Amino acid sequence: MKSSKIKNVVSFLVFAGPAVTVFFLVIILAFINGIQLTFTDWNGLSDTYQYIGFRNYADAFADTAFWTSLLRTFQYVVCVVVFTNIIAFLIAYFLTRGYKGQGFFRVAFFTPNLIGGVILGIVWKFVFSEVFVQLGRKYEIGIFQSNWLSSPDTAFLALVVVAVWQLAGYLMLIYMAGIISVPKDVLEAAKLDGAVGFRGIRHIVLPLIMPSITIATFMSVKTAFMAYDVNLSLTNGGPFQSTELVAMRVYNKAFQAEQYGVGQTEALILFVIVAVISIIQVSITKKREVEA
Amino acid sequence: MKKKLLCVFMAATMLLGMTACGGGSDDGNASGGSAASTENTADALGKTKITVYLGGDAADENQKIVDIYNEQSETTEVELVTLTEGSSGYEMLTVMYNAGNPPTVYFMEAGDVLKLTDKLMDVSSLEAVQYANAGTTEDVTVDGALYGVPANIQAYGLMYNKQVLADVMGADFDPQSITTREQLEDVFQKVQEAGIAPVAISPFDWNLGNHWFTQIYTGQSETAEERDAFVNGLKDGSSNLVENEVFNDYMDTFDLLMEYNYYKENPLETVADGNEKQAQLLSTGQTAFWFHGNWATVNIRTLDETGEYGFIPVPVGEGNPNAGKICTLVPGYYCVEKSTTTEAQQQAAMEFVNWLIMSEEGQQYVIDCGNIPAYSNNTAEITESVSQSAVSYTAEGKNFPMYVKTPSDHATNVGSAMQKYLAGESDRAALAEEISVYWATQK
Repeated sequence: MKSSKIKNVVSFLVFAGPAVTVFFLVIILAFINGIQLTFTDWNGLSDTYQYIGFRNYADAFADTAFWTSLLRTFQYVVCVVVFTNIIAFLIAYFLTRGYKGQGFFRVAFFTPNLIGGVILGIVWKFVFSEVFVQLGRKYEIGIFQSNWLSSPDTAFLALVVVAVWQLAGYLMLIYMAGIISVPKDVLEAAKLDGAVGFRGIRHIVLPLIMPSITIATFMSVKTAFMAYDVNLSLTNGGPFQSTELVAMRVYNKAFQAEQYGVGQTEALILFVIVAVISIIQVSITKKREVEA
Repeated sequence: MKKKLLCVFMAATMLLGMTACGGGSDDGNASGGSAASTENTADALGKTKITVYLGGDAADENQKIVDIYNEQSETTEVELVTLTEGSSGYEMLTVMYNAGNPPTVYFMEAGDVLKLTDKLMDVSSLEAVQYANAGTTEDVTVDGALYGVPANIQAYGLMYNKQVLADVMGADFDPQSITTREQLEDVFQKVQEAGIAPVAISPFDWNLGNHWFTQIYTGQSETAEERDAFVNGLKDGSSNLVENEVFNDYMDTFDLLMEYNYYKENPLETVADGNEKQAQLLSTGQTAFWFHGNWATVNIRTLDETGEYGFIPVPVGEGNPNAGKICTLVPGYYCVEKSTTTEAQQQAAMEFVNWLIMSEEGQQYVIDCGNIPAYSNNTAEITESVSQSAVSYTAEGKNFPMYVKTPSDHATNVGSAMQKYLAGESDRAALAEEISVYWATQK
C-alpha cells in the first residue's frame, strides 16, 4: 500500500514534474510578481521602486482612456467572435461534404493563420491604403475611394476584417474535426426522419459538435481580447487613438507613458474580466453538450 | 461535474498566461546582463565586442559605417542593433535592459537620456566634445556630467520645391520673401490657380504633436526658463492655452495650411503610412510646400536626384520670437552604457563614438544620411540643397531649438488631439481643452 503511494508520487514527478516546474516558473511566478508590481511606482527601467499601496488601482479606475478602449475591445470581440465562428463553421461544413478540390480549399483557408500577425498587418495595410483605394478610384466604388485606415469607423472595420480572415481558417480545422466525427448512421437516420438542409444543421449537427463550439468560441474570445500585433502594424491605434484596443493601451501605458505600475494594474483588471467572461462562456456551452 | 471543473480550470490557466506576459520581465537587471556580456567580451581574435544602436532611418548607411569601422579597427568588433517595426528607441531599450542585454552604445533622445543617467557614462572627456556646436549639449548635461554627445542636427519648417515655385511665381522669385501669413496665402492661391496643390500636411502624431505643437512652447519666450515656466503652468493649470497668443498665432497658420492642404478632402488619408507619400508629392511637383524636415531628404532623393529644395520659416505674427526662424533639433545623442558592460567594452565604446565624430568617414556618414553636422570640425562638403538651406539659417542664428522636455507619450496624446483638429472633428477650444487635460495628468 505504502510503496504504491510512493510509486504514484514518483511517476507523477517523472511525467508531470518538468511541465509543472516550468509552468510554475514561467507563468505562476511571473503572475505573482506582476501582482506585486501593481503596488509599486516602478517606471519599467529603474533599479529601485517604492510601494505605494492602492494608488495604481485608483489611477487605473480613473483612466478614462483605458475604459474607452476596453469598451471598444468588447465591440471588437463581439464582432470577431460572431463572424469568425459563423464563417469558420460554414467553411468547415461545406469542405467536409466531399466536393472536388476540397483539400486545396482547406489549405487555402488555413494559410492566413500561418502568417505572423505583424507581417499580416503590413500586407493588409498595403491592401487597404493602396490596392483598394486604386481600385475604388478607378471603378468608382464608393466605399473604397478613401483609405479605410484614415477614419475611426472604417479602421475599426479593417481590424475586424483582418482578424476574421486570419482566425477563421484555424477555427475551421476545429469545426471540421467535430463535423467529421459526427456518426454517419445518426445523420442518415436524421435524414430519413426529414432533418435535411438547415434543419439538419440546427438540430443534429450543431448539438453534436458542441464540444468544438466550446473550444472554438473560447479560442476566438481569448485571441480577440489579446489582439495586439495586427493592431500595432495595421493601424497603430490611429487615427487619433480611436482603434487602440485594450492590450495596446496597456502596453502603451506601461512602456510609452512609463507608468509600469498602472499598466500592470490595468492588465490585471483585464485578466479578471476576460477570466470571468471565459469561465461563464465555457460553462454555458459545456452545459449544452450532448452525447450522440 | 469533475470534467466540467477541470475544463474551467484549464481555461483559466490558459488565460493566466496573458497577464503573466505583462509582468514577467522585471528582474533581469544588471546581474544577469553582466554575466552574459562577459562571455561575449572577447571573441577568438581577442577583439572586444560591442553592440551599437545608431537610430535614424538610414539603415544602409548605418551598416556601412559599422563595416568601415570593423575593417580598420584591430581591437574592437562592432555589431549593429536595429529597431523592431513600430516601437520607439526608448521602448526597445526598456525591453533590452530587462532582458539584460542593452546595446553598449545607443542613440537616444534628450528626454530619454535624462531618465537613464544612472546607467550612462560621463562622456565629457571625449576629444570630440569641444567641437560640438553651441546649444547642442546643454539638454543632456546634469551637474557638470555629460551623458551623451549629439549625433547630428536636424531642421524643419516649410519645405518647398524650388522648381514648382519658379514655374508658378517666375524664375526670380525668392521663397524667403514669404514672411507673413498673408504673403503665404497669396503664394498658395497662385499655386492653386496653376492647378497644383499648395501644401501637404503629414498627419502623423509625431509630426503634429512633437514638431508642430512644440513650436507653441518655444514661441512663448526667448529664454529657456520662461518656456519651462509656461509648460509647468500647463501642468498645474495656471497657463491658459485657449487664450494664449502664441497658440492662436500658430493655429491661425495651421488653419491656413489646412485650407490649402493636398489632402483637404480626407486629411488623415495617409495616417497609417510613412512620410514617403508626401515626399513623393513634393518631389514630383504635385505640391509646392510640405511642413517637414531635412530627414525626408533620403525619401525625396530616391525620386528626384537633382531638384532644388529648401526651407522657409513657418510664418507667424511679428511679436512671436520664433518668427523668421526655422526649428532645429538634436534628434539623438550617442550614449555609452555602463551598468551592464565591462570596462574594456566601455573603453571600446568611447573610442568608437569619438571615431564616429572625428574621423573623415564618420563626418561623411552624417552628410550621407542627409543630416546636418553638429560639430564645427566637420569639414565634409554639403552638396544637398535641403541641408544647405538649413545651414544658411543656422549660420546666421535664425533658428530656435525644438522643445524636448516633453513626456514620451506627448506625441501620441497631443498628436491625436491635433489629428482630430485636422480632420475637423474638434475645434480650437476643444483642441486646447484636450491638450490641457493631457498636461494636467503629468507630474
